[in-house]
Amino acid sequence: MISGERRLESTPDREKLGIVLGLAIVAAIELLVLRTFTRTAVHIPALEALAGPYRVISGFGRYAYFVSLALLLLAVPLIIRAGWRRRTGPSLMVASGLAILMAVFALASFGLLQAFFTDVASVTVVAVLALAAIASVPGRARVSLGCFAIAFIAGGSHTALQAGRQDRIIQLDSGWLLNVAELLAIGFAVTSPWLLRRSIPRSAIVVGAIVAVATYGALLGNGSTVRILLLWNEGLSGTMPALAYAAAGGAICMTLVTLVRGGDHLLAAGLVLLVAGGFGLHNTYQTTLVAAGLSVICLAFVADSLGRGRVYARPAGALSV
Amino acid sequence: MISRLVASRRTLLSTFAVLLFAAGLQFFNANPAASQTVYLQAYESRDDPGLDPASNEWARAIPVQVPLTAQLGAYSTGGGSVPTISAKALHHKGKLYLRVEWADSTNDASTVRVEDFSDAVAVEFPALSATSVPSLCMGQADAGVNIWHWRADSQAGLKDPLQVYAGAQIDGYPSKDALFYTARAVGNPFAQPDRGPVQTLVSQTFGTLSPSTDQDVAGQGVYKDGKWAVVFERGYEAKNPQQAKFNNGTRTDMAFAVWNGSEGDRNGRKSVSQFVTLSVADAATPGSSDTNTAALVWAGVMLVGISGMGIAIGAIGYRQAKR
Repeated sequence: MISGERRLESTPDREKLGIVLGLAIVAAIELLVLRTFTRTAVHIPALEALAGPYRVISGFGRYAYFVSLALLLLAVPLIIRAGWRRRTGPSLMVASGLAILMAVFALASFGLLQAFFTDVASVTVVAVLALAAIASVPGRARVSLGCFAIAFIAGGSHTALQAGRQDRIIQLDSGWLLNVAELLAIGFAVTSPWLLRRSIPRSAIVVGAIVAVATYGALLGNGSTVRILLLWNEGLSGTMPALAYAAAGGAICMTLVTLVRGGDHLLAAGLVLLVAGGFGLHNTYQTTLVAAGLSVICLAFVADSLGRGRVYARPAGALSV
Repeated sequence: MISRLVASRRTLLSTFAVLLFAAGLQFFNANPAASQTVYLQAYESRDDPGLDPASNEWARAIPVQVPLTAQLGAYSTGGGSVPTISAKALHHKGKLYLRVEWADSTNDASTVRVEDFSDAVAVEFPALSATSVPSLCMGQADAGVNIWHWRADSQAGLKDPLQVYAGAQIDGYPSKDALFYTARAVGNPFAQPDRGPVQTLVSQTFGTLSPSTDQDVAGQGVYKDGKWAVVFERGYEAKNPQQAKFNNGTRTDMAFAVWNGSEGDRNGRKSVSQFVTLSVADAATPGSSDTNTAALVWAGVMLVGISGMGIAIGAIGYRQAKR
């Protein structure tokens, strides 16, 4: 089986692929440095000698955020164009969904759209993009993406319904949606190996096991801080047993290492963007990361099915992203 | 592949342009991203709600359910539900009122024993002087935070240790001078219950949490039927630039923290929320029966329209590809 990434190396658009990969790398740095490391500041001794290095690192994390933003602004039009040019069902859904999302955020930024409508539109667009991604992937991979989609929709719907409640638009109790989001977010991570198109190397299993043990230990040791980071970064409250999060963390890392080692960089980038975006609605940056991640995953599998000459015709100048 | 990309001059120029653009965004603090978190509307109350959580004025306010990080140990009462805090907000004649409610199976209001910890709740706002939303715990150098911290033991007042340690022998002091009450003498707020159960704190990066020079927040909590309900009250204005300021028609960020004493919660061991948005509205509280039906219809049209459009485009693409 030829991975989408290996076929893409012969296309003239490797630079565009580089933007998506760069986005994924910088988004991961931003997540690890700005949203994770700097938020553990309360555990750093308040020594003068540490204040300087801490300020430098947090400043770097903040810069990574703006670099990620800049790359996102570049990557989204490229993904829209790539989806449009491929002319397949899922790729057209990607192109139209992303374009609608950007239009909604633009309207909201000018104060032309209330928060409730922005939230409804965001959740709906992500649902459409998830549908496109699910339609692109084969077999069990659909379960994993389905779990992500439902988790995001459940978490995002809670926020939208709360906004609707405040504006007297809709009066529905939505706390239970957070339970659904929590459960299925773990389900997505645990089933992420089903996205793989090759066998898992031993090194990936070792990395996954290390991450799982470290996560379990962190939840037992200082569970408060880890749960705070989980909520702020991923929108998960940490109500499930620690073993569930350990398994989730280990499975996601194992999947990512397998993808990177196997040269499936585009799919790895998509997965990183989903993790960096989190579940539910936090801000337009994270929502766009999720939308981009689902789009990239969809296009990665569409590229692969083009290579196998299956359902879809190959458009002239088929590109990566 | 990476070495080939790096070799490309266009790639290098593009990379430099992106880094420069990002630096420009950071320098001018031009953040195009917007918050999409839960938001809470504080409408004008017709009458003064006061500090009583059971006041009739609160019946008209709509709460938001804000998820908290799970507390260690058992889940909150309700069996497996995600721990949340319910928050309502009102304003009346230049004062902001916040009512928070959360489930807690035990009323922990005594800290006479060293192994006992108090139930508490705190609300955090960016400081007036903040130039950006604080993105760190306890604020950052250019964006401090203002915290209103209510404690159940402060509200219950000082207890005579003999109530807990009946067999204790306590020395008597002939003088009532503050000299012999060291906690009181150094200004420890927990030794001065007459100051009220709410402490106003300010912080500007870790390790700098301290009481504000202006202790201007009033509060009261009531424990009933396995729930705490606490009301905070403060005027809009703040003399101290490290405190938050409010006004009609403005928005600010707000976060919550809850301590469950029976779970051993204290200091950094607590349940916290993300930042949510507090919007202080000019208008009076709408009647509970007023529902914006038109907006609901528009939301439905948007939902069906976007999903229908996406699926239709997908179907068209699928048919075109099959030909």
